[in-house]
Amino acid sequence: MGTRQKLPETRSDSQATYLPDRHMFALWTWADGAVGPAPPVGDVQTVPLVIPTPDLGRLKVSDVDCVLIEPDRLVAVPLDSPGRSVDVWRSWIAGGESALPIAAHAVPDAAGVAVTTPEHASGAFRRTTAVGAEMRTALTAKLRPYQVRGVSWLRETIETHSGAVLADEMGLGKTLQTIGCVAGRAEKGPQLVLCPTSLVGNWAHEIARFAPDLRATIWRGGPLPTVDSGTVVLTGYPTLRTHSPALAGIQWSTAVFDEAQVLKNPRTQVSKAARTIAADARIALTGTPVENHLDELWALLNLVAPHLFGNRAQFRHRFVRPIAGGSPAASARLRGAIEPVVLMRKKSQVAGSLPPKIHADLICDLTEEQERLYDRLLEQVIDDGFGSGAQRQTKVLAVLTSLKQVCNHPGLITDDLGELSGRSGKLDLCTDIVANNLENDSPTLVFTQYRQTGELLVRHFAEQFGVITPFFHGGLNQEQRADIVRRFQSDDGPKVLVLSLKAGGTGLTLTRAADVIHFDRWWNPAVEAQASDRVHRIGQTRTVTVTTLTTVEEHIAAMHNRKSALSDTADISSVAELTRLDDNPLIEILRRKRVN
Amino acid sequence: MANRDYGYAKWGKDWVRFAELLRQTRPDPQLPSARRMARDGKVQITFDGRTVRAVVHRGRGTSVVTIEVAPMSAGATAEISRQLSGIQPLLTDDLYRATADAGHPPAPVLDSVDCSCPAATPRCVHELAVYYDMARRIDDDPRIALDVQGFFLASAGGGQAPAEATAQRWIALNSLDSAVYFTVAE
Repeated sequence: MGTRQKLPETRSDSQATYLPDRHMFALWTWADGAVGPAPPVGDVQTVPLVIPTPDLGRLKVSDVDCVLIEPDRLVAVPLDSPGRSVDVWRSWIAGGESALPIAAHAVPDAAGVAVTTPEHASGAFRRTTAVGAEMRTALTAKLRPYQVRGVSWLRETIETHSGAVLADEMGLGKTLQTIGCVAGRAEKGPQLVLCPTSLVGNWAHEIARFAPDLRATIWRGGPLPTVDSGTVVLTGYPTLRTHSPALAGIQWSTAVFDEAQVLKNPRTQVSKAARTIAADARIALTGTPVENHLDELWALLNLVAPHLFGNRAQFRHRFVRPIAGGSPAASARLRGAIEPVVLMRKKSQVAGSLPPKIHADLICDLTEEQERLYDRLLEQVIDDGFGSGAQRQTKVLAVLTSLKQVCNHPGLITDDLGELSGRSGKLDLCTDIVANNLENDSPTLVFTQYRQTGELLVRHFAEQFGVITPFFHGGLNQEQRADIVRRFQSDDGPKVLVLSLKAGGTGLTLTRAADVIHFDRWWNPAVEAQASDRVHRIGQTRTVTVTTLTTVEEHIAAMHNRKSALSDTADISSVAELTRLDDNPLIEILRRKRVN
Repeated sequence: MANRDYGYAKWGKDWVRFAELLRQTRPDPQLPSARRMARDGKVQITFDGRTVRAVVHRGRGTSVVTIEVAPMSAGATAEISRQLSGIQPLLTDDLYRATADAGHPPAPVLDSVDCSCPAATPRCVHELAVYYDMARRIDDDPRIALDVQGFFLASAGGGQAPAEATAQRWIALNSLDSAVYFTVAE
């Protein structure tokens, strides 16, 4: 074979393989008929790639040590004797279109019998680069490469299958990617976002923040506002259930189903209502590992792309039963079958373009019970006044505390602590996140400032998941504290740990967890940051995800206070700041801001 | 005789039909043991183009069954390609029905069947077990039904490129020349 002389003989050549799902390049080396050490330009990661056998007779799938870099960096990154694949991709970045060698697109399919075609690799690269340029003006946020790919993937998939499931791991920015896609479809007609009620406010907030040109309208029933192009209607699943005819009467250009695992049972009313929505494109978002819940996956696929998959019985027969029986071939077959319409990426896969710490600030809505209680407490305060002098500060603090407790859970004020679920937006959301992490085997820390809230969380987790959650608080002695930390750090330790912010916020090392939830906000962000650093310390190898749960009410009050907290280090001074205000402006700050 | 284990998808059902012939009027006593052999993994199938080669174990003996499948008719190939255009070949029962309704039933035709066993009956239990195992495999992955009729071969070499969408996304490993892995084929 004449082509053999062209192969590199003894040198070590650098290669670049484009990973379409992540919009990144895997850099690796080839020397003497084998994979060499990854180029010394970043953290090494193993990626399955198709490579030749040592005698170059065949191709096979193998785990290759790679360094992943973003497209922007490929041109300038110093590489020893760059191979053809590197040259070609560099020319593509510069706008050229030369033919790709196999090494440049050597990403295997799920079953390990096929490779991404050069047309797909170069097409995905070109489209994603174009979308990246577009997003820089369309959104006010800078997207990470894998997020840009998420937007371009959503577009491609909607175009070919008119439906898509984005199943990225929590914290990777599914909302932002969806907003990117929605912003690009604004001219095609009205769009609809369905999500759990407690997240409606968060969607409104994020759309206003990232795509201010879109008109987001929250709808809670009643007559639908006039909808036209550029409008995004936000509503909760309960509203969908009770008002589905109003929504079904409109031809939406896009329907987004956030936390779509709530539609897992196709026979429920809400699922039936979801299927009646007429939309040119349907996007389902879920952060739960869909591969572990195959019936749930079928429901999602049936929602977004009913024409692609057979009926439920066949899906069960073909995938669910053999996978439950432990067949690896069936899992590969499933991944191959859903690959056209499901995109799922894990934090570990895109770690190279993630900061060491991801912040996810979720804004939750209050439930009706919480709203009523909040208003009642505030009315009472208006009647009583805050008093004056030293007494005033105490009173302000007491009011703030009780209002914050309402936001945490209404039962903390009314002492009605029978059934806990469904009464606090925050608690429900926190439960979802913890459920998810339990499933992913990711230990979680939950911080709260209140002893009572902590106890409520411990009880709730025990009821929901049957896990025993230790509670690290100021009332424990040194020995008990050390014991909790030691147990948590051991490999088979508890999956969830609740900590009081003040007691657990400093000094501890809890690096077994990479996920932190702040159940309530502290005035001073530095205190929170310090608490988050319990997991983000030396010895932490994973990306840390910090989720804060805030209600709109707390959010506004906190924004006000955080301004002063930035200059003051003592926490109490911000309360003093509030105390210095007159009654009326103070009430105004605390009053519930009704969205819409 | 409802049989939920084999042929629950239309594509697999075609192969069950080879074992359970419609013209058969009396129950074939070989069928239950053929099904059991398929279920217990006594049948090992390898494909070579349109040739199905199966090693069948029964008791202490081993037989080799060779089945040649006829190429899919041009009409059926074109019809299925048309149905699949634009999307990944997820072969649903609806697609099967649509193809059959268009006058091109995609059911395979067997050119020849041969078994190495000395049985004198026209159809031996090994052969029947292979039909069931094929049905089971095809139920799980209907693409095999097309593959074994040369559907993808025809599309690769035929120039009309029916399965265009598949070709765009993936390319089979064994169709690549590993000698030009690092360079570009001229």
